[in-house]
Amino acid sequence: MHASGFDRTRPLLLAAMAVLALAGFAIGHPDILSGANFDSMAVFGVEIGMIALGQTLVISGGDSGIDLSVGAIAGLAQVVLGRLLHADVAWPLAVAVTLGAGLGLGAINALAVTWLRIAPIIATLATLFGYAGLALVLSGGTNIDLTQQSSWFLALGQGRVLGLPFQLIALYLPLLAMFAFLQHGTGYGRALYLTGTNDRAAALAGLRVGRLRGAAYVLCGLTATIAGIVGAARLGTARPDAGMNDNLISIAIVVLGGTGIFGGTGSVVGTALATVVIAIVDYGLSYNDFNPIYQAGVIGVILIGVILVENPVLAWRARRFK
Amino acid sequence: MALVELKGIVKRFGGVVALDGVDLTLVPGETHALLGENGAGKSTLIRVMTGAVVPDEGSITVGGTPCRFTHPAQASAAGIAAVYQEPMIYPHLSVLENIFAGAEMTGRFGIVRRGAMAAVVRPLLEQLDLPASLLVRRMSSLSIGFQQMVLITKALMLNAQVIIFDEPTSILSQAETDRLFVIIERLRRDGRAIVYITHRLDEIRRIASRVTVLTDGRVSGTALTSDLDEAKLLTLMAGKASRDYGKPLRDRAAPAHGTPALRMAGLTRAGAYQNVDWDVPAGQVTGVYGLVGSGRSEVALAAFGALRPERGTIALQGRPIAPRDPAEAMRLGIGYLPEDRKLQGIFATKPLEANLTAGTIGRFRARGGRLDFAGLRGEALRLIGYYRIKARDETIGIGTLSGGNQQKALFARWAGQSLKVLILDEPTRGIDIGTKAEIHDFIRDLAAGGLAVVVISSDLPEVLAVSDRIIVMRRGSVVGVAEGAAMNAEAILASAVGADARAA
Repeated sequence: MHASGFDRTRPLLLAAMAVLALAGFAIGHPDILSGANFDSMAVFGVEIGMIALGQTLVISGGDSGIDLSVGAIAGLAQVVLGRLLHADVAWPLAVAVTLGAGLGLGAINALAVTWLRIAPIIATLATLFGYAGLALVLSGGTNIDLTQQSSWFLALGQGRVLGLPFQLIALYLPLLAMFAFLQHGTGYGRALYLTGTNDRAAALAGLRVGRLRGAAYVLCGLTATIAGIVGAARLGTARPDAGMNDNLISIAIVVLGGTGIFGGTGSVVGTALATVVIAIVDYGLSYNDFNPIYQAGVIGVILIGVILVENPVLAWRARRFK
Repeated sequence: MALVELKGIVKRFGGVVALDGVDLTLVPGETHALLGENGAGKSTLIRVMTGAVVPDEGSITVGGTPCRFTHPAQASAAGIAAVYQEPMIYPHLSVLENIFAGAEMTGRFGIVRRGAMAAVVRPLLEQLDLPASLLVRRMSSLSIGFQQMVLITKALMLNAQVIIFDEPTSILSQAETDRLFVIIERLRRDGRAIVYITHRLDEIRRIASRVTVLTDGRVSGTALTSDLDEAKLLTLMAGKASRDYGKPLRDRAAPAHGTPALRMAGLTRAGAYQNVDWDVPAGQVTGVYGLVGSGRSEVALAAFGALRPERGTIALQGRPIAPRDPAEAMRLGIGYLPEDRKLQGIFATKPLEANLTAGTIGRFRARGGRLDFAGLRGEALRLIGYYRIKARDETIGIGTLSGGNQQKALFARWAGQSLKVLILDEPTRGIDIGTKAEIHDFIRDLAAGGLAVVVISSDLPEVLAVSDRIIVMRRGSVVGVAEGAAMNAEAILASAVGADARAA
C-alpha cells in the first residue's frame, strides 16, 4: 500500500468495469459509442463527480464522517446564485458570492461535527433539511429562470473547450487533479489519512484532528456548490431541489470507488473511476430504453458486485505477494 | 496423567514458521508458566489450544482423546478456556449477559431465562469471592481486574478444565494481581490445569510449578520452577547472557540545581489528581511510580495539553504555560508517548514510515506545498537504523511488526524529535526483555543528551533501573520523592501501596 493509502486494485477493477459496461451496451446499440453520447455521459457525470470528490475527503477522515447535505447545498447554491443574478449582480460576482456561501454552508457542517461534536450523520441530516428548507424559502418554491443571463455564465455548463464540454475540461479535471494532489501529495492529505485511521493516536501525535476533519467538510461544501453552479448554467434554471438525488448517490460513488466507510483509506482517483462507471451505466440504461425506475437498483447491484469480485482478487494478490 | 497433550505442533503463516514442532503437556493441579520473547510463538500456541488457529501439523489430545479443533467452540466444549490480557467483552452488556454470551439458557419461544442463569452463576461467584450484585453491572463499568474475574467465572460456568491466562497482570494493580494469584491457586488446587503466560520473572516463582520456555517457535527448555534460578531462565529466554536486570544502568546523575525544565505545582483535577507537584530537571530521568489509577498518566496528559487541569500551574523552563492541545504542547517542546500502544499509539494499517513521522509531517514540506517524500523516507530510515527497528523496509505496515518493534517505532517517533521534555508512559509494557533493555539504554542516552525525561511505569524494577530520581504517586497524590540512597524497592513500593510512611 502506498504511504497515503492508495491501493490500485479497486481502480483497475473499476476501469475494467467501465469498459465491460460500455461493451455490453454497445451490443444492444452500437451507436452508443459515438462522440455525442460520450459527451452526454460526461456532462451527466461531472456534477455528481465533483460532489463525490469532496465526499471522499469527508468519509476518509473517519469517525463515521459523512456529508448527507451535499445535494441540499447544491440546490441552495443554485437558488442563491439565481437570486443574485435576478438582482442584476454581475455574474462573476454572483458566482463568487455563491462560492463563498458554499464555503459557509460547509463550515456550518464542520462546526456541528468538530466543535459541537454532533455525530456526522445526524449533523448533516439536520443541515440537509435546513439547507433544503432555506432553498425553498429563498426561491419561493419555484424554479428561477436563468436562460436570459449572460452567455458567458451559461457557458459554465454549456460551453466547449477543445471540442469537449467546458465543465469537464476546465472544472472537473482540474478539481480532480487538485484533490488527488491534496490527498496523496500534501501534508494535509497524509494527516487526514492518519486521523481517519486512528484519531486518538493522531491527536496524541500532535495532529489537529478537529481542524483536519473540519477542512474536509468545508471543501465538500465547496465542491457541492461548484456542482450546483454548473448545473444551473447547464439547464439555464436554478432549482431549489436540484441536488436531492445527489446526497446518497455521491456516497455510493465514494464507496464504490474504494474509500473505506470507516476512514483512513481510499482515493479520489477511485472515486473518479466510479463516477465514470455510474455515468456509463446510467446513460447506457436510458439509451437502451430501460425503465428508469430500475436504474437506482442497478447502482446497488454494482456496489455489491464490485465487492464480490474484489474479495477473490485481493485474496489472490495476498497469496502471490506473501 | 496428562490432561492435555500437544505433540509436534507446527504452524506456518506464509513463509514464517510461528510454531516449529512444539510439545506441551498439561497436568491437572499444576500451574504451567509459558515464557518467551515477543514473536516466540506463545500467542499462536494459545490460539492453537483454543481452536482459533488450526495447526498445519501435530496432534492435540484432551483426556486421552485425539482432538482437532477447527473452531473456538470445539475447544471450549473440550473444556479449554482462555483469559486474555485485555478481556474481549461486550462492554454494553451486563456481567451476566457476558458470562452467558453464546451459551444463553433459553426456555419456550427462545426466551432467555435470566433467573436460571443467575442461579447457576451465583455459587461460582461465591467461589471467587465476588459479590452477586456484580451480575447486573455493566461490563464497561468494571475495572480490567474485575473483567478478568468475569471471564474466569465464564470459564468455570463452562466447566473448563484447562484455563489459559495470557499476561493477565500486565495492566493490573498490585492488589488486583494478588487477588488474581489467590484465585489461580484455588483453581489449581481444584484440579484444573493452568497455563500462565507472562513476561515477569518474579511472578513465575510466585505462581508456577513448571516452566516452559519458547524461543523462535521451539521449546528451548522445560523445567520445574524449583530447579531454575533467574539467570538460567533469562539465558533460556533471550538465548544469550542477559544483563543484570534491576540494577542501575550507570551512575546516577548528580541532583540538579536551578530551574527544572518542567515544573508542575498544585495541579488538581477532581476525581483524577490533587495538589500534585512534579519537578522534572533537564539531563535526568525522573521516574514516576504508582499503581494503575494513581493519577500518573492524567498528570502527564495535563502537561501535554490533552487533559486540562482545574487548578495549578505548569512552567516550562520557568515560563508559565497552559497548552490547550497536544499540538501546542509539542510546539512548546513537550512530548508524550502514550501508554496504550494499539489505541493511542499506532496507525495499524499505515506504513512504518508514516507512523514514524506522524508527529513531524509539518516539517517535511517541499515546493508548492508538496510533502517532501524523499525527506520523510530519509528520516524514517534514519530512525529505523538508529533505533534498530526490525522491519523489511519503511513501507511495511506497522501492524505486521512484532509488539516490541511497534513500541520501538513509537519511541523513535518521539525520541527523534528535538524536545525539551519527553514523558514516556509505560515505554516497555508487554514487550520482550531484549527490546526492553534496548529502550532503557535509549532513554538514558536521551537524558545524557540534556533532555528532561519522565518515565511513568508500574514496573518497579524498570523505574529503579532507569531513573535518577523517583516520584511516587498514590490515589492522585504525590506520596514520596526518592533520590540517591532512598531509592530502594521496599521503600518505594511501601509508599506506593500506602503500607508505610517511611519513604515519604
